[in-house]
Amino acid sequence: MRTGGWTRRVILFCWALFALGPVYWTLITAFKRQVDIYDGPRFIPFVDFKPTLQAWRTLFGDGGGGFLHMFWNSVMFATASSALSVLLGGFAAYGLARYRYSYGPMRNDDLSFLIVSQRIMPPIVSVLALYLIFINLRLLDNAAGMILAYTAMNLPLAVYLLRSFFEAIPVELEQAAALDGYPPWQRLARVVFPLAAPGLAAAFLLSFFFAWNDFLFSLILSFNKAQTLPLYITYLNTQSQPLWWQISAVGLVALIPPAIVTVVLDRFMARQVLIGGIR
Amino acid sequence: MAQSATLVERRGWHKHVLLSPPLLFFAGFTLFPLGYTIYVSLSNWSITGAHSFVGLDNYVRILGSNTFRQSYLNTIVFAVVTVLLQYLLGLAMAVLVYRSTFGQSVLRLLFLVPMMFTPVVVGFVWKTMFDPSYGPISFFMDRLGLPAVPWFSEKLPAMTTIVIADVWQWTPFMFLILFAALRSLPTAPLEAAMVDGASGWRLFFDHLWPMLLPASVTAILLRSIEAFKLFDVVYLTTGGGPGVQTATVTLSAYFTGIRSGDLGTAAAMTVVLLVTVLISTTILLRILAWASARRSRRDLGEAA
Amino acid sequence: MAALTVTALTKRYPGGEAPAVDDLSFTLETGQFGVLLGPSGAGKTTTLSLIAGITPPDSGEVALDGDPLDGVPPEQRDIAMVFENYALYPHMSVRRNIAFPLRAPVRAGSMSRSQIDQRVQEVARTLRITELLDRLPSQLSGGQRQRVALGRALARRPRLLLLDEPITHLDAKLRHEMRTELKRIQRELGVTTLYATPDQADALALADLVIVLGQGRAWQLGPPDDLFRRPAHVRVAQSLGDPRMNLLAGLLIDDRVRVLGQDLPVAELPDLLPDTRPVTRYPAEVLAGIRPAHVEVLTTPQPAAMAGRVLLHHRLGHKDVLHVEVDGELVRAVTPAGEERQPGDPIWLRFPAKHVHLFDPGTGWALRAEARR
Repeated sequence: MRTGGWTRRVILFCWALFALGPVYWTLITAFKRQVDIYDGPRFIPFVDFKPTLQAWRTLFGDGGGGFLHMFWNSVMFATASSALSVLLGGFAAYGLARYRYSYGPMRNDDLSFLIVSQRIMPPIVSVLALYLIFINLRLLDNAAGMILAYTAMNLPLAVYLLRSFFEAIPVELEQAAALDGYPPWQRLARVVFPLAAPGLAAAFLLSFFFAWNDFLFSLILSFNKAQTLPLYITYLNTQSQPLWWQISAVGLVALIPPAIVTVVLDRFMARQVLIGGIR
Repeated sequence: MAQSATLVERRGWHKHVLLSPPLLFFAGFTLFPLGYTIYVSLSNWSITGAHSFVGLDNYVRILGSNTFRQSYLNTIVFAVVTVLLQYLLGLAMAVLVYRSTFGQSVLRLLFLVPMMFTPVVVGFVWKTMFDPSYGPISFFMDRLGLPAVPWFSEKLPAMTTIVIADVWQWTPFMFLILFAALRSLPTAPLEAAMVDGASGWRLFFDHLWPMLLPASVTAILLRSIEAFKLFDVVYLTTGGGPGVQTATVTLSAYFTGIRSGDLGTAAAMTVVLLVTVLISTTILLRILAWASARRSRRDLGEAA
Repeated sequence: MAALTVTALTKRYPGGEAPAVDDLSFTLETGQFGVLLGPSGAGKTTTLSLIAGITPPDSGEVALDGDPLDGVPPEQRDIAMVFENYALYPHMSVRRNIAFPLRAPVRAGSMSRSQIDQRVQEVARTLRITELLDRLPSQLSGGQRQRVALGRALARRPRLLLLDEPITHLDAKLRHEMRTELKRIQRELGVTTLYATPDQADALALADLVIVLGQGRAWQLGPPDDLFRRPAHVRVAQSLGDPRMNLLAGLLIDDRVRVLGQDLPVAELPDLLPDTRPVTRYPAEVLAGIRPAHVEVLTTPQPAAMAGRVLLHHRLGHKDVLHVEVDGELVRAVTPAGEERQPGDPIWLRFPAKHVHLFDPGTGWALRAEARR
C-alpha cells in the first residue's frame, strides 16, 4: 500500500508517543517527591524536578504497609498456580491428543471445547458463588484458595495451547521409546514433554501473566493475609490524596514479570500459537 | 491403512486419570458456582447468609431499575467502542509496521509495552494522566488553549477516559494477532493484484483485508469476550462515577453484592451479563466459521 | 527352536470392514531374514505393530523363542524396530539416540557407562556414521538418518529386529546400496529380522523367507526362489518379478492347454507344490501365466510360434522390454539387449510349456493339470 514514507512514519511516531508517553510519565512519577506532583506536572528529571528514591525506600524499607507481603503473595500464587495449570493441563492435553474419549455423547473435540469455553463466562458470575463456597470450605483469604482459583482460571488455557503441541509430536516417537524399553511415565518425561517444551513454557508464561494481573478474584476472595499486589495499589489509591509516587513505583515493579513474559512470548506466540489458531 | 492416533493402547483407566483434573475443576469452579449463582439470583440472599427463595423478583427489579439499565448499556457501549477502536488502530498499526523497512522487531516490542501493565495499574496511570489539577493532559490542553474538560465529574468525559485507557492497553493485542496474520499471508495473490494494477486503498480493501478476515474475527472474538468483563480499569479510574454513571455490570454486581451485601440482586445481574456474553460469542463464532470457510474457498479459487 | 512364531494373528480396526490382519501365521527361524511383501494397505505395518506389542491383537499369538508375548508390554519384549520415518528423537544427538535404549530402565544396571559408550562407538563404526555422532537428526540426510535408526535398533542386540519399509524414502541408488549393507549386517550379527516392503526387489535380494501379504492374509510363504518358481496364487506370481508375469486366457482340453493359438502339452508343465489343487472339470478355462523373461522371442516365423506385432520397445541398457500384441492380447517379453524394433514390426513368440503356470480364473489359486486319456 503506497502510503508515503513520511505519512507512515509520522503516524507510527504518534502512536509510539501515545503508547510510551504514559509509561514515561509513570517512570518519572515514581521518582518524584510529593511537592513535585502537587505543584503542577513536571516532566523532565533534573531540569523540572529532582529525582528521589523516597517512594522506593518506603516500599522496600518499612514495607509501606504490606507491600513486600503482597508482592510475595503475587509471586507465589502466580508461580504455583501456573505450574499446576501447566502440569495438569499438560496431562489432559496429552490425553486429548493421544487417546479417544467418549463420555456420553461427547468426544475429544467436544470435551476440548467444554474445557476451553470456561473462559467465556465472566468471572463475576462464578466469583460471588465462590465467595460463599470458600467461606464454607474455609478457603477464604488463604493461599490454598487463591492458588486453586487461579489454577481453575488458567487450566483451560493450558489445555487449549498444549493440545496442538502434543498432537504435533509423532506417535512413532513414543512407540520407539516404548520399544527402547521405557514405561509410559518415563516416555512422557524423557521424550514427549521435552519436545513440547516451547508449548509448556508458553502456557506457563501466559498463565503467570493472567494470574499476576488478576484483580477481581483477589478483591473478593481475600481480605487480609492472601492479598496480592493489585490490591496494594487500590489501598494506596483510596486515600483522599493518593500517593502517586508510591503507586507509580509499585506499578513499575508490577510491570517487570509480565514484561518478561510478553517479551519471551512474543517470540513464540506470534509465530506458532496464534498462527496455528488462525490458519 | 488406518493410522490410529492412539499409541500403545492401554486398557482404560490411564487416560481417564489424565483428563479428570480439568474436568473436576470445570465442575467445581464453573459448573457448580454457576448453578449456585443462579440459585442465589432467584433468592433474597444476604451476605450474612440469610436467604429466602423469591423466584424472578430480582430480575424484574433490576430490569426495571435505571441504575442497572445504565450499567448494562455502559457495558455494551464500552465493549463495542473499545473493541472497534482497538481493531481499527491495531489493524492500521499492523499494516504500517508490516510495511516498514526499519526496525520491525523494535517497533513491535515498543508497541507491546502497554499490554505488559497490570490493568489496575493502567487504571491508575490514566487516572493520574487525566487528573484535572495535576495531570499532564489537562496541562497540555490548557497550554494549547483548549477548554478544560471535566474528566471525572461528568459522564461522557469519564467514559472517554475509560475508553482511552482500555484502548491504550489492548490495541497491542489486536496488533499482535493481525501482524502475525499479515506475516503469514502468501504474497503471491497480492503481487498478482498489484501487477493487475490495483494499488492503495483498492488493494487494501479488495485484496489484503479479506485475507485477514479470519484473523480479524478471531482477534475481535477474543477481545470481545474480555471486553464484557470490564472491571479493573473502571474501578481504578472513575470508580464507577460520577456517582454510578460509568459503572459496568461487573462493577454494579460487585458493589451490590459485596459492598452492600445484596447477593441475590448481584447474582441476577451477573446472569444477565452471562446471557449477553453467550449470545454475542455465539454470533461471533458463527461469523468466524463463515469467514474461515470463505477464506478457504477463496484460496482454492485463487489457486485455479 | 523357532525364533519368532506368529499364530492366527487377527486385528480389526474400529470402522474397518475387513480385518487389517486376518488369521496370519508364520515362523521365522533364529537368524533368518523374513520379508513381508505386499502393497500399501496389505497389513504390513499392522503386523509389525502387533508383533512389537504396540497394538494389541484381537486374537492370535506371538511367541519369541518359545515365550508367548501375550500381555507383555513392548518395553519388555526385547524387540527393536526401525520405523518408516525413522522416529529419531529430534532433541537428542545421534550419540544419545543410539545410547537411549541402552540406558532404559528395563536394562538398568546391565551395562556400565563406559560399556555403553563403547557399544555406541562400535555401532557407529559398523554403520559408518562415526563422524555424525554429535549431530542432531535435523542435520542429517535421509540416508544418514536411516543408518542412525538402524544403529539405535541394533545397539542392544535385540532378539528380533523389525523394519518397516526402511529404504522406501531413499533414492534408487541409495536403496541398492542399503540392500547390500542390510544383508551384510544382518548376516554378521545373526539377528532374526522381519522386514516389511512393497518392493519385490527387496524380497528377492534380502529374504530367506518371503511372506506375501494381501488384505491382511498370507497368500504364500517360503524361500523367494520357491515363490518365484512355484507360485501358489496369481497374486504371489504377480508380486515377484519385474515386469510382471503375463496372464492370458487359456483352455485346458484333455492333454493340452491352448493359449493364444499355441498348444502346450500338459506333461511338460512345470512341477508344482504338493498341495496344488487339481483341475476337476474338463475342459476347463484357465489363466495361463508366463514370465516375460521366459517368453521366446523370434524374428522369423517358426513352427508352433504365434504371430504378433510390436507395440513398444523399451531399451534398458542391459535388457529390452517388448510389448507385443498377439491375437488382441498384450504380451510382455524381456530379451537381452538387441537391435532396435519399431512399433508395427512383425514378431513371433513362443511359450515354452515348462514355464507356463496355470491358475483358476475365478479364485486365482494355482491349478494342477493331469493329462487325461
